Amino acid sequence: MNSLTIENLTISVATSSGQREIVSGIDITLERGRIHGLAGESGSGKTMTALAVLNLLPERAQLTGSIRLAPRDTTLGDPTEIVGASKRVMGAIRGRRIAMVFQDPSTSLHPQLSIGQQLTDHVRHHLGLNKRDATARAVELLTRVRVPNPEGALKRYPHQFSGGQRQRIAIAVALACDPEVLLADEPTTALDVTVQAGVLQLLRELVDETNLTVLLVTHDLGVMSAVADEVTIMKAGRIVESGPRQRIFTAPEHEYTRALLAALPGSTVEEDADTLAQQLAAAAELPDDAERLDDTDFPDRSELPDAPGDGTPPSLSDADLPIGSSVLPGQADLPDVAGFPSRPGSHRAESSATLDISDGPDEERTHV
Amino acid sequence: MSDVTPAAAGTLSGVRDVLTAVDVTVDYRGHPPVRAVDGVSVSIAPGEVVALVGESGCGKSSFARAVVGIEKRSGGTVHLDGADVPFLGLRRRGVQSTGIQMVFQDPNSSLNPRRRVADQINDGIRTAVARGDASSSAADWLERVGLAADAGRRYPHEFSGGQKQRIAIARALAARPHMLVADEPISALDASTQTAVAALMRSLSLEAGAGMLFISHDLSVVRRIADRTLVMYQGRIVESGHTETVWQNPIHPYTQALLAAIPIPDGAGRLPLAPLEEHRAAWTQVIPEAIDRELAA
Repeated sequence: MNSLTIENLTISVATSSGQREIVSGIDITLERGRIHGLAGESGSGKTMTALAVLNLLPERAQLTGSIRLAPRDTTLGDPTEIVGASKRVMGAIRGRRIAMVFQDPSTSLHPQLSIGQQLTDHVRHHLGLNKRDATARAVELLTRVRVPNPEGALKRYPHQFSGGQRQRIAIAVALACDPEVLLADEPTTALDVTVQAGVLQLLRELVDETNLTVLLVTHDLGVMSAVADEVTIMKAGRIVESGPRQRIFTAPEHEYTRALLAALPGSTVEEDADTLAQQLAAAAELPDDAERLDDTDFPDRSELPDAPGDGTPPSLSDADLPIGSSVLPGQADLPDVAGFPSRPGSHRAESSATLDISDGPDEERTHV
Repeated sequence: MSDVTPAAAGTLSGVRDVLTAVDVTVDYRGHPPVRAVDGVSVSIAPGEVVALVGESGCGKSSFARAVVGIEKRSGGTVHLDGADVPFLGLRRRGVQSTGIQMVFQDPNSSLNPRRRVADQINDGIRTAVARGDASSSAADWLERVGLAADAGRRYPHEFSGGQKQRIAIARALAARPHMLVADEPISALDASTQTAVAALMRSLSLEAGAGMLFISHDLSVVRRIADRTLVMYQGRIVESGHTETVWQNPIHPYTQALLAAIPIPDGAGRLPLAPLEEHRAAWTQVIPEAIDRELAA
């Protein structure tokens, strides 16, 4: 059963050179009680897509298409359209029916409010509980995300918890109103691998036990493989490939997916050396933001003058790595930054890439 | 310059080690004071890649900074080519100390945004020349890290994150270091770029005959590029030795937990194992057999 349906979603922003699409024609269906992974490199539009679901995009961004949230009980009316929804409608959805967990719990939790306040304010506002019931609910939530000593935790502040505990608390805040859909944007990226494992287990258990629907945004294909049921791969604002987890990982159809998998250490994807070298070159370097908006048609790198395309298979001992795609499409057209005069030596010391710094008049005071 | 200590001259492989750190200790004042690094020793030979792994807060960055002399050591010695590496903080290095170079995590803060890329690489080249090494050209270094030779006239913001880190690597290598210390050089990069940049760092430091201390929390990348791996927990090395031996057959419970927690991108949907709180107590134990493990037959 579908919980959230994204259809033909396009996000565009007005720039000095006209309207530019940053997400183009995305279709994603989230099934109830499943984790849908959305993967892609930085700037591929995956976070923008998640923010669009909560109608949290900046005002100058224009949305077309449709995002429909199915009613909790299908016998109770029609799905709610989120694109173009009023503030009142969104107010009843955000945090209540669709909640979000962000990458860094030290910025998503308020540093000056106790955990108890952050958990109870939320449920009192949305669910209208009195103080005592709200506190009981908070303890229940902290128990559910396995924060030790939940009663004591309510009186403490975010900085008194470890990163993993903070993220568990952020998940508890998100789950406070028993939402149908949880958007998790890189929820484990800031965590250590041992802590990440615990949070992933928690996520899986919550989904299996409570029929929660999760959109998991991550660039980490290992995380994706561990918990996602369906996987969508994005590149430059478009969906490259979408399907069941196992199929995407073991039999990817699109060459970009293959390149992404092949670029992982310990990759198991066997690939024709020629294709792999070209695709790695494409995958290894994405244009920075300025060019990415133009790079919607994925030109074949082998036709670009600077792409290697020499069929060298990726090899670690090989000094001549197949990653040399250096000139990006559109980069040559970038204007020179005349506004920043180059004055060698004027800005070195602390911001320099390395420690060295040549000898010089300072040499006398090196031994202090 | 101090005298060469017997420890600094000691070698395992017959090659004179380029870097020898013995019993390095770093303390931070506070209430209570924290011993971030607690007696860590490592010797690195020319052309050898040694990885230091462990969770955040285990002291791996403090150790790296103590090795290059940014962080004050409260105990232990560090010798580069037999000469003592002094504590200098962020002050300018003397010509004898520039044989050790560092690559940092975030190229956005390590590259100067207002200077052209070639000018910044030229700083490194001048450093090498001042030490009596051969000169080179910025264009050449850019090509070696897989960028166009004419990219030097551009500014850092005109490059993607992966490209910026390549520039920072070129900048460090242009100084022709004997020892490269890289503190999480790939964590700020996209997953698809990480392996490529790590592999590039390995091949270039091998080519230059430099030793490399590669600090990372990403064990799967470390497995691909490091000859030896040191596993650090709470300021101590709990397991060390040949990378493949440590990986295939970890002895120390912390190493075992660390490896079991890595999610494997095979599409099988297996949840990585999360260590239980009560297991963490065992992670601080000292297991002598887990140190300096040889390549299994």
